[in-house]
Parts: sequence; structure tokens; C-alpha cells
Amino acid sequence: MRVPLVKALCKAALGMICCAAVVGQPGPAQTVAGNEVTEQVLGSVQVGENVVKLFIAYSGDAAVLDFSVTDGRRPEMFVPMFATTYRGMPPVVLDVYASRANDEIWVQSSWPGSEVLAYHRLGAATALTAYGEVTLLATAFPEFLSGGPVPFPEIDPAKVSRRATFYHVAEP
Amino acid sequence: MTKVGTILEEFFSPFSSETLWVMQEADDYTDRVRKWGPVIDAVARIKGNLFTFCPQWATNYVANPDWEPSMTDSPKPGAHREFVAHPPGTEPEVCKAAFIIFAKSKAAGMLPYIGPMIREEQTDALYTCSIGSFNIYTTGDVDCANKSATLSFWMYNSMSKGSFGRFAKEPVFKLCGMKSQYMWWHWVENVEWSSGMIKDVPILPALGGW
Repeated sequence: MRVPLVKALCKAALGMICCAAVVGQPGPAQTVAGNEVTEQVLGSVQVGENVVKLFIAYSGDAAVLDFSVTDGRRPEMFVPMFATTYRGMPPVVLDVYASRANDEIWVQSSWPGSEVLAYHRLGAATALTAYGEVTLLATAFPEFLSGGPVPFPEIDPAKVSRRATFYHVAEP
Repeated sequence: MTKVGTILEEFFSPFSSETLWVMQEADDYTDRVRKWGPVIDAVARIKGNLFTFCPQWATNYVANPDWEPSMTDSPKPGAHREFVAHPPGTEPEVCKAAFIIFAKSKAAGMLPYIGPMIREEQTDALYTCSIGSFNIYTTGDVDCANKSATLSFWMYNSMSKGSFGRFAKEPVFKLCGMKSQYMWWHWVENVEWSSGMIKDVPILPALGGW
């Protein structure tokens, strides 16, 4: 089979040309983008006295989908909900639900199999995410995330309403 | 045995295609990642979590025999998750040095006559830099009463155009296909904590691997 052989040789040779081109760049591997954190804000919504902001934090070769919460008096605190290893985020529609008393929020995603991404009782020091019960963080991009999914409180339509919908359709 | 050079060639090739790389316990690349400090630390955190929250593991993080690794960034459902962001040793300078060594040896290997005698240099740093950030999904066959468990680790990384940030938009990359490479590493470990400290238990060959 000559064609696959030729293709394999071309692949190796031309691949190396690209490798060589990469070597000429400031940094060639998966961390070339640098580890500074940049944010892509998807939107924010007022829930009682608190502002809830949804955004994607990019750093190096990774990306983290976060929400943050602040009441304007205390510092903004962050809750990582989902992380990728390719500096991108799959397209997603995010709904923010809040209780009628404005003391609880849920973030629900359109991704199959991971409908609810987070639950937080406003004012509490912790939130529930796919990483379990996590402490609110002072940074949007922690060095690591560790934990496992736990059941979320149900979104009861009688007590909870959708306050906002945010979209992530493509990388910037 | 999977060589990191093969993955990089597939990624950078103009004929690049999306590829699923599944590396089992016996694979040399899996052996390398298991000896990598950030993975050792992550696995220690996972075992610590099992030690503290055994009933949660027994209920929630159970192996699903129907699940198979695939070309997707969706998390493995029903598993404990560990995400590690650009760990030490994957800094641009370290990666660039490893890449230069590899590219030079690869180029030298293409020389007529002497080329076939030159060995490709794929250093440990090249293997780990090509991963960068990673996720580990873990499920367990857990016996909380007897304080023992068999843990199944699936470590994941995807390499895509986005992994290279703004540099992927440079003109020199136009030739490169840069189709996403989905990499999974799998291994199994037995642990027990009857003494109050979690310890590894050697897996007998006849019992290993699921």
C-alpha cells in the first residue's frame, strides 16, 4: 500500500516543519499562552443585595467556568464550576435561578448529563458544585480543583424562578 | 507503546485528524505520568478524599461498565474529579527546551546515511509539557467496612488549537492541521486504611486491570 506510506512520510516530514516553526515561537508547548488570568464575562444578575457574575477564566492551556458573588461590602468571591484542559469551553447556555426570598441560587447548564452546575446559599461560605461542597475562593483560577458530584437541592418551580440566561457560543 | 512524538506529529501535521489516544496501565506513557510529581500529588489528594468520605465514594463514585473514553471534553459522569492547572514543569521555557531537543533529533534522523542511526530524543519534560493541565476522573470499588478499595483512575487531557493560545494564530501555523488530540491514561490501584493511614496494596497480576 504505497499511498498510506507516502501519507505517513509526508505527515512526519511536514509535521516536523510545523514543529520547527513552533520552536521559533516564544514558547512551544501547551502553556505558550502564559499563565496570567484573563476573563470573558458572560453576564451578571442582581439577586437581592448580591450581584452574581458568570464568566470564563483563561490561564495557560486551561479554562475554568466560574460564578462570582458580591454584595458590594465584602470582597468578590469565586466558585469554579467546570474546568477544561484546552483553554476553551464547550458552547453552553447557562440559566441562573434564585429563590423567591433571594437567598439561594442555582446555575443550570445546557450540557447533557451535568444540568445543574452549582448551588449556593447567598452569604454562606460554601457552595455545591460538581467538585462537591467547596469553599468560596478569593481567586477565579485555583491551582487545582478536587472533589466529586453530590446531590443538589431540587429546583422547585413553586419557590424558585429563572432570573437570567447567559450564552457562550464560541471562543473569543 | 505510545510515544509523545507520535501524538505531536499527528497534531502538527497538515493531514492532522482528531485522534483518540487511550493509554492503558502497561503503556510507557502511562508509566511516565504516574511517576510525574503533579500526578502523584493529585492521586494522594484523591486517596485522602476516599479516606475521609468513604461512604460518599461507595454511593456516588462507582464504576459504570458501559462508560468508555471518547473524543469529548465532557467529564466522566459519576466520578470523583481532580483538575490540575498548568502544573510546575510545564512552563513555556521548559517546554521550549524539550521541544528543541526533540525537533533537532527528529531533523537529524532524516539526514541521509547517518539519519537512521540517530535516536529521537523524547525527554520526560516533553512528555509532561505535552500534557500541561489535566483532569483525573476516579471511581472505586469500595469496601468501607473493611477499609479497602480498588480505584480506577482515568486521566485526561486534550490538545487543541486553543491550547496554544494566540500563537496558534501566527502565520507559521497555517501549514499545521492542529486537530484536537484526546488523550486518556488509565490505571488501577488497590488501597487499604485499616491502620488509620491509607496505603497502597500491590495488585496481583491475575486480578489487575478493569
